[in-house]
Amino acid sequence: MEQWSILIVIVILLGVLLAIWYYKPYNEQPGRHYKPKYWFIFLGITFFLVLITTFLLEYIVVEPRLPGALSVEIRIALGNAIYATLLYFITSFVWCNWLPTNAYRLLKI
Amino acid sequence: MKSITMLMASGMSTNGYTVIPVILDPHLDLEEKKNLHSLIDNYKDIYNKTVNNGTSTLNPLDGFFNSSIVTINELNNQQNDTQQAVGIKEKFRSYIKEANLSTDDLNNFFVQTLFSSKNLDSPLSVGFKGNPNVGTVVLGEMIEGADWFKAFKTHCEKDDRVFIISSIFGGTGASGYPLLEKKIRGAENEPAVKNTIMGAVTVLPYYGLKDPNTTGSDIDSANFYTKTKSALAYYENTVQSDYLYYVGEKSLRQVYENDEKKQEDTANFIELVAASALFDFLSREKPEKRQYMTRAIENDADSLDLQSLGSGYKDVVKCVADYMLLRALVLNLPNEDYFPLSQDRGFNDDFYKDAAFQSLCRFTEKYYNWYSELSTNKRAFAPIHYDDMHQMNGWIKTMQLDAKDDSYYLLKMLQASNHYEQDDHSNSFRFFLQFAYEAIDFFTKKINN
Repeated sequence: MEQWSILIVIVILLGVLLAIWYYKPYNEQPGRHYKPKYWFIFLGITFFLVLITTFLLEYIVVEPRLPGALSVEIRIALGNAIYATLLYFITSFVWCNWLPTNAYRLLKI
Repeated sequence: MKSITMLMASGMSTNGYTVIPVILDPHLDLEEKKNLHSLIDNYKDIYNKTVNNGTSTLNPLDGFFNSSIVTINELNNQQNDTQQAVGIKEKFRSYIKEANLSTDDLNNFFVQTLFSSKNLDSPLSVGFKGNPNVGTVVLGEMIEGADWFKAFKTHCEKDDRVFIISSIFGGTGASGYPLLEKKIRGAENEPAVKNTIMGAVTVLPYYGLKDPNTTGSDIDSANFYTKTKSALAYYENTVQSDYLYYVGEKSLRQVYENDEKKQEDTANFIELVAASALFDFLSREKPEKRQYMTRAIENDADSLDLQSLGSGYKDVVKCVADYMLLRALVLNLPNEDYFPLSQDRGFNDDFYKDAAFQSLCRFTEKYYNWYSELSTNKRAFAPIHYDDMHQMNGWIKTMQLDAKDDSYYLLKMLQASNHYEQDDHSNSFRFFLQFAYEAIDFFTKKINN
């Protein structure tokens, strides 16, 4: 259970924190960071960072020795990455509509 | 006046004074004069759009276009052009009614002694062609009878100020300045006019004209210094201004075409210095005795930058650098995709096509041409690099700014926007100039340090 908690925390932390980082500190820097391409780059970073982090943690905690275990761990990492991306998207939606930012509000209703 | 308008647009402060220009040029059809009126109208249009908030009027902005220009016609609720009354469509000979004098009349001999045949045959509609002896006779009556002078006397109130800008080596300015001063100080029935704080800038010779023998012109710039010396000798005991600024060059560095009909002279650094005298005057208290002012540059360079100009010119350099940065934003922002203020403040396609922004674009184009002329004239006023948007930390020659490219200014505009509530006012154009000025000033204020 404790190991699952770590995975959930990774999903939440990385998904939300990367969105916050994009909308606040990153867009407080010059370089036209408000352009949507940077939002998509952060989206990609969130996906792959969670994918890799989850997989590495799984690998360290439970090394996949049994047949099919590696595939399960990859699928879990993939699922985690998708959840994190979803969280990144939801956080972005909230930020675009209700919170101050220097970024372009791509998801503004 | 052109340089004054440009400096006002760039953010030079008039210390709360409204500028009411009266352009005394008898030359009726001069293109440059028409362009000046058009420039002033353009300025007024932009200023009015920055203070307009629907049914209410907002305070003037800090920074760009912070001071009001009002024409004397508007002040007097007149529809006709009072400037027109300054010119006369007749020859000087006819104006003084020389024909009424008999050939053996003593006055006729007197006229022949004071004025050459060329003077007498000179049409007054093109000015006095560098002849202050003609200007002195004509201008006095022109001023006294002019609608603008009556309007000025009616509207001039306590604490208002008068500033006279004139050249000393021509006809209109050299003769007009002491005459105008005399009319003002002699207004016994209008104490506010008589006692007004008065300043003047007298521009000494700074350009020459091509040989009149080859151009057929009546003006010979070889006489400029002689005229200046005699005018200065006259001014010494007659001027009545509280502040008198002298501006000039060491030599006639630039030589223009000698065409009095066109007078297509490009903007000159000396005119900029003369314009800066107005802002200095408006920041000073009434002196106990007359003050004679002048200013120098640090190094005698052909092309002046911040260092060779010296610390006295920091404010002028900052203003020009600021407006040229505004120009960069005005040119680039309409093509900037996904600029967040297009959502938050309505800086979208409609905004950029709107009359206010288009008016700013027209003014900015004129500003650019003015600066281009200044920066290529002799001597050149060229303290900035403005052609590389990717190396903007070198915008001010001899100084490094922290903003490396235009994205720094765009970011500061966004941050400035965050400081203002959406309901402060509903004027997007004012927001645009506010944010742009805050962004630019953040980086360029180090010029003044």
